[in-house]
Amino acid sequence: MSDDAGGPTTASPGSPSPLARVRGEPRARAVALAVAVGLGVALASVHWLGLVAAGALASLVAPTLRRGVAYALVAGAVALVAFALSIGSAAGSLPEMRPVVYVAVAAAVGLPLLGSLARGVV
Amino acid sequence: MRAPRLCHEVTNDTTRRAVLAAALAAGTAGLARSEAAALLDSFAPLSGEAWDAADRSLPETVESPYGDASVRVDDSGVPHVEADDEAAAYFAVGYLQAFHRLFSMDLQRRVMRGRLSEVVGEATVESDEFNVAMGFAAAAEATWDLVSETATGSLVEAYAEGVNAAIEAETLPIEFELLGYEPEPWTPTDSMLMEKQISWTLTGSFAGLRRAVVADRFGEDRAATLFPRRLDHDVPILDGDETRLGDGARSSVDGARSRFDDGYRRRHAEGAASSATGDEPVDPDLARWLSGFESPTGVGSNSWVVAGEHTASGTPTVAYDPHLSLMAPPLWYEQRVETPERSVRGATFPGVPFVIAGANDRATWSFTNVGADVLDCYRYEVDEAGERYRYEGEWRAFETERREIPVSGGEDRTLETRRTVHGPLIEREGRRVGVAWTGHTATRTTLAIDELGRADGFEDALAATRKFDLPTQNLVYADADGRTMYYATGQLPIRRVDGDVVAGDRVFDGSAGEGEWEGFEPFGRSSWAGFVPFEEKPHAIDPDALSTANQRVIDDPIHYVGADYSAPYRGARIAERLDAGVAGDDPTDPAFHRELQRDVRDGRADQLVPDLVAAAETADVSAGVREAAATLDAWDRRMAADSRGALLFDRWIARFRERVFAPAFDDVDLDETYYPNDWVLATLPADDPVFDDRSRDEAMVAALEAAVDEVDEAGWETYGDRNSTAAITHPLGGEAPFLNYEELPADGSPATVLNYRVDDAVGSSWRMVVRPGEDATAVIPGGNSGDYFSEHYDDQLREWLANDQKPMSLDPDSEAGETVAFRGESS
Repeated sequence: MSDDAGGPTTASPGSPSPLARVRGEPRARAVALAVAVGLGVALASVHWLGLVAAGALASLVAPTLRRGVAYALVAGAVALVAFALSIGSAAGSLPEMRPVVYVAVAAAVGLPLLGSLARGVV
Repeated sequence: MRAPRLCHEVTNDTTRRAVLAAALAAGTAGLARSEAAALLDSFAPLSGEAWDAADRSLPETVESPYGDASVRVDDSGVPHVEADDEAAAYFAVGYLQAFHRLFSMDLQRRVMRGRLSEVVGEATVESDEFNVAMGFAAAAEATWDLVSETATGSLVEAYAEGVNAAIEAETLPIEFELLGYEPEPWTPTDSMLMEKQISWTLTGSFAGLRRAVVADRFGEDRAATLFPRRLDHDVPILDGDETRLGDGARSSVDGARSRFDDGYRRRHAEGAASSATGDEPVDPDLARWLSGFESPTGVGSNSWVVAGEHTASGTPTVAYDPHLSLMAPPLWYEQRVETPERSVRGATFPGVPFVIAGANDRATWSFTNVGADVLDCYRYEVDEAGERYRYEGEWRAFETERREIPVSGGEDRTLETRRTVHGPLIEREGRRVGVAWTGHTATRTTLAIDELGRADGFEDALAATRKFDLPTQNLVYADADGRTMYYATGQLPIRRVDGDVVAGDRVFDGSAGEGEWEGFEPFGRSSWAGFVPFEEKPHAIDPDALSTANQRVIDDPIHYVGADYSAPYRGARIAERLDAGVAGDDPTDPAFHRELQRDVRDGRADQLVPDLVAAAETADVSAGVREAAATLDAWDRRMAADSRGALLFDRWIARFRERVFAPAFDDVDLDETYYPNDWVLATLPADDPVFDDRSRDEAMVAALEAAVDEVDEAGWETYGDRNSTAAITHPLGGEAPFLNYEELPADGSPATVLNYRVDDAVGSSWRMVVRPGEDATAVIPGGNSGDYFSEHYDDQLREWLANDQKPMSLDPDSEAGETVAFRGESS
């Protein structure tokens, strides 16, 4: 299977779509990834489905499916860091909070991964 | 051929996209509909509702319908509440207690109301059934009916409103998210229920029923040896020559004593020797089941007072440490309240507005358990349909009520509760027992502790003590005027059979009206007319030095008090050291008393180790056992965490107990919960029948061999490897172990002054040393906050282990800690 599971990224011959341009230009991609992760984390603050969305959004700007998976993981890691920052000094207790902290970590990894399937669709 | 190939690739690509899209949709939808969704709702990063509890902090201001109050939470997490109006202060107290301990409060009321299964599930159905059948909630309602008519009732109402304001405004503690429910509003009756809960913990004893079971199985003579009504020691709390209230008390007292003695001797044998019938509650399974709802073994306490002439400052000193269940968070909650009417600091139970044990600006007071008999069991003749019981020559219908017990994740239960003229009827697998307990009526204890907090001296404290209906406690008091006092609080029933006064440690014939309590109205208001008069209860006015450790109150009581006293190990050790301290050249100071609270000398070792070592020396034993005997011989008999000897002795006495009692008790089908106490174990003579098959020496050596094997297999080196704070757990600690405290080695044993029962998680649940009108120090086993994320969740745990007490400050650091301003509607 090809690494690139890219979808219909061109609107017409010679005129790349915005998504294709983002995927193809490193600077635009970095900006898009930052926006996608920021938006995803914002959604994740409302509901855990936001973590799926974060993974999907981040992966969509990736040039390949494999990198899409990596971007989704980045989104999950950023969500975890944002989470730790959001609870202030209580974050120091997180490593001891077994088993519930496993749910938090598994969600931060697994849900964005699930979302990254979107990169294979679009 | 390109067109078909391209077409095929497009088809494949479309299919793949469709599969991935379907996988994404199905995965997301499946998660949302699975059980995992609930976990994610609670614990997903950022959105998980449980994490809201990680960022709780007190608000800067709270609106109060009762007026202004200011709160500063000091650097130990203790709230200091100041207000010009008492109700304003107690609204704030309610708010603070709820903020710090709401889950504990809710859990306790659920236990007592029989609604624990509603949030926990099937595991607690039996507990709920028992508590519903006992009718604790109805007793609390009767108590609130009485208290609500008093000025104290207004403060309880303000407190309840404060609790509800916090429930409304504050993020709930994490436990509510873990269990997935929200608390219902707090009511004043719930606070009365807390009084019932404490009282049940301290006096809810089916010892009389157990004693009857033992007598039934072993015969009365043998039962009297294994379970003596009076342990053979000479360290009761009172010598009998203390100053008492009133000049004429002694003569009336002597008359009462002779009446009690005559009846007791005559009726004692009759009561114990009852034969089992269909309505006979003397059944080991029933007794064992009921015992499961008593407090854990070892609940007790230490307290003592020394008059000012023996102290460095010239002010009396009181030292106190109650031995109750140890858990995370602790049972007690420390608070201070400052109003024009009171300046009180000390410990209370969350859910109770007023300081229970502590100090005000003039006085200090403490409570240890008497071990009094305030619960009686009755048997009845019941008709074949099981709907009526015989009572004084006629058939009466049981008072019945159908109660629902909701069960989370299970089938809800319906329970038909029954009552007789004496109180609730408890039924279990065809067996029935009627129960009368002094807590099953309206009690004034809440009024008493409110008044103690405002007491301005001895007379005020004495007046408050009169209202302390329950539980039966050894009150130890001292004040800045130099007055000291001991008083046995609580209503003590007087039982009669055919006109003779009898003891209560038996099962009465309820159908014949035996042993009834005159003036007692279950679930109503009692006149207490037939109970022991206040002046005839054990007491001592202005004792010089006096200590209590749950041992027998007095050798020759005016009235029967009880038979369920603790072994005298702690009492003897405290009395010995206190006497030496008082008799010494140097006056005692608070450091002396705190050091005495830390004493870990074990009196059981003094009784048993010399014989054990001698037995091991003459026996043919392995090198390991010989080495263990040598370690015990050289041991200082202190139950210190770093001691090898303490570890060996602890394991040895457990094995010795088994070897001595198991054969005899197995023969009559009674398990280890029926074994006699360690005082009996240590003092049984070598020619006792339990040593018929194996001599005392042989049993000792065999127990040592077993202990050495156990220690080697477990890999323990010192006592603290086993005796640790791992026993102190949170109610949800099994599923969420992070809520438990850190595991640290602990000193102390069940028999030492520094009390720690690792097997039951019971020990010193609060320690304080107070010089009334002067300084006071205290420490709590864990922390003052029940909020896992708070720095005060466990910040006193190590200090508690070391008995490194902090000041109970009257003047908290004005720069440190959180503050809350309660604003009245007009401000």
